[in-house]
Amino acid sequence: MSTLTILLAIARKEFIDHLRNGWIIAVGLAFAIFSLLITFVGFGFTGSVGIGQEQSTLFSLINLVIYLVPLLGLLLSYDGIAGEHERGTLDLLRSYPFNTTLLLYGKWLGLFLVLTATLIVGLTAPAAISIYSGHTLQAWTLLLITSVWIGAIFISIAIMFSVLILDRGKLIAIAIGIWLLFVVLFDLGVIGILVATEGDVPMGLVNLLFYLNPAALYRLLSIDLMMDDAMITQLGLMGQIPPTPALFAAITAWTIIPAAIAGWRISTLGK
Amino acid sequence: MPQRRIINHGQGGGVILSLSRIRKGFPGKEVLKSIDLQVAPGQLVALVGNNGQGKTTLMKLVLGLLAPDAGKILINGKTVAATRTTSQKALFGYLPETTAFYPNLTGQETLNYLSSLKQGEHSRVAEALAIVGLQHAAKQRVKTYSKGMKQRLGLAQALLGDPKLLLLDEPTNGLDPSGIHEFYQILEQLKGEGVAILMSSHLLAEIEPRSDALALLKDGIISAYGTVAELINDAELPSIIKFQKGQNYNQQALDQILQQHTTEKRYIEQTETFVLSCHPSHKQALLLALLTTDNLVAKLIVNDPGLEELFLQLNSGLKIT
Repeated sequence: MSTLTILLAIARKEFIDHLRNGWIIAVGLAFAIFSLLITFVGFGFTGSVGIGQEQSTLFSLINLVIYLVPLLGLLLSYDGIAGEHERGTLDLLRSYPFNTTLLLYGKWLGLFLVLTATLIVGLTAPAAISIYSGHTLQAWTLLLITSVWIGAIFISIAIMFSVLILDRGKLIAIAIGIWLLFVVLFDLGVIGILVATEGDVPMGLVNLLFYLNPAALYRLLSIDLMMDDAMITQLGLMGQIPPTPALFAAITAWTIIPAAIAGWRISTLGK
Repeated sequence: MPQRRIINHGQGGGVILSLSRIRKGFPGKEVLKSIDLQVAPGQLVALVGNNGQGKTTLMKLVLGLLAPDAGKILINGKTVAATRTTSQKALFGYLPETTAFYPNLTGQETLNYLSSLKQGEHSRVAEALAIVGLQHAAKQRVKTYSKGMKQRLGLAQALLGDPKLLLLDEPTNGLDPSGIHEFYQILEQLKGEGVAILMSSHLLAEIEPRSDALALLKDGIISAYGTVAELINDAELPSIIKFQKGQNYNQQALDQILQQHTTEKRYIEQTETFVLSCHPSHKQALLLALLTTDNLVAKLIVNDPGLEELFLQLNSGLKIT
């Protein structure tokens, strides 16, 4: 009873804090504006403005999620533990009669709920309009779930660095660096390798590189789950996407391993 | 010479906290070299020392937030490992030196949250708020609190869960005079209930009348330990006697008295005041001689040494004259 009570109390406090500081509403509305624009404009190659084809709209939204949600997860969480440290409450809470790892996982849960609420705020309006126009609820539900999951991965990564570094000044730079690395530079690097070798790179190596980047994994998993064969072919990915269980295993590992490292570190602080 | 006394005049007997030869260093600096200290139920032990002498480090070692490099920590007579168990942590109430809390929560929500983490009853939150005089601001967000109110909130959270050992790091920082008075009233009540208190402070005038024992941290050891009276007595600090010339002032008579009591004198012309620095063993006889010589002196004031003088002498070797 007590472990769950403590976990939920920490998560609840985290959620209330972000609700009151306006994060959920402000970021959720900004996300909603981008999503609505994409929903109305559709994807470039549909060639028309208005509610686009479901597949092309979803593909555009997947790309929006890849650019924005990792950044949201990182900015939301980079000071999760470092903020407690600088506020003076980390030592206080570590002196309290509960296992300190609960602080970390309660915080993770709270931040996860904050991000989920933000994405619900951000995706509800475009989803409602799309579904009213004939798109399926299932596709939007999948989009929400996978978006929350990619966010959860970057929450885990940010929390890990937060407890390892404990310095908000450095952490904001690290957060932006991680985003640039995984979201912007990684793709450019892979394209660079392919161009430099004129495509003569074993597919196994390319896949291995994708496993090293959670954003790339998310893109592949989302395409695998939400796109039909015609769209996958159009994207040139037919036969190139790793097996779905392998993608699930990889993004699960990306979610759990950083959080586990953070849990280990917080339990050994000061030792 | 370092003075070591084990004082146990608290209620309930026994010792709740015992530190034995504790050593703790950080890269490039050994902060604590060998610390021996005991705190008994109902006792307030004040940790004093200059900045950087290791007062906060010592508290963190007790709480298990840091691990000692060597030495033993005993809680309720049992040696504890580097990591505190939940039941050991439940004995503590801790007020860190600076705690900002959560600006978007109200005082009551903050305590409800912290009470949940201490697995306490929320019904005790109102009581804790009332004890520290914050019930009027319970529904206000913490970001609207003054520094003193945050400090009261900090004390309130330390009281949650009925701690048996309070560790208070500079607890009266930011409190106004009435707040300080109320704060010590709360501590008196807690002492009466058998709570042991280990407190650090720079405000010597506050601590002097309220602490049961004083531990001076200097150069990594407790260089002095005892009641304020005992330490002042041991240190043989001089009393300062000031007076002006009486109607029958006579230089020769005064010099004769001072010679008998081997006492040095200074004369401050601006205020026409003599200042004597008198060894404690001579004070009574000297005063008797000065006061019984007809109108030799006027407006005589005796300043007995206090904690501040003791601190300066023990800490820096400065003699108060």
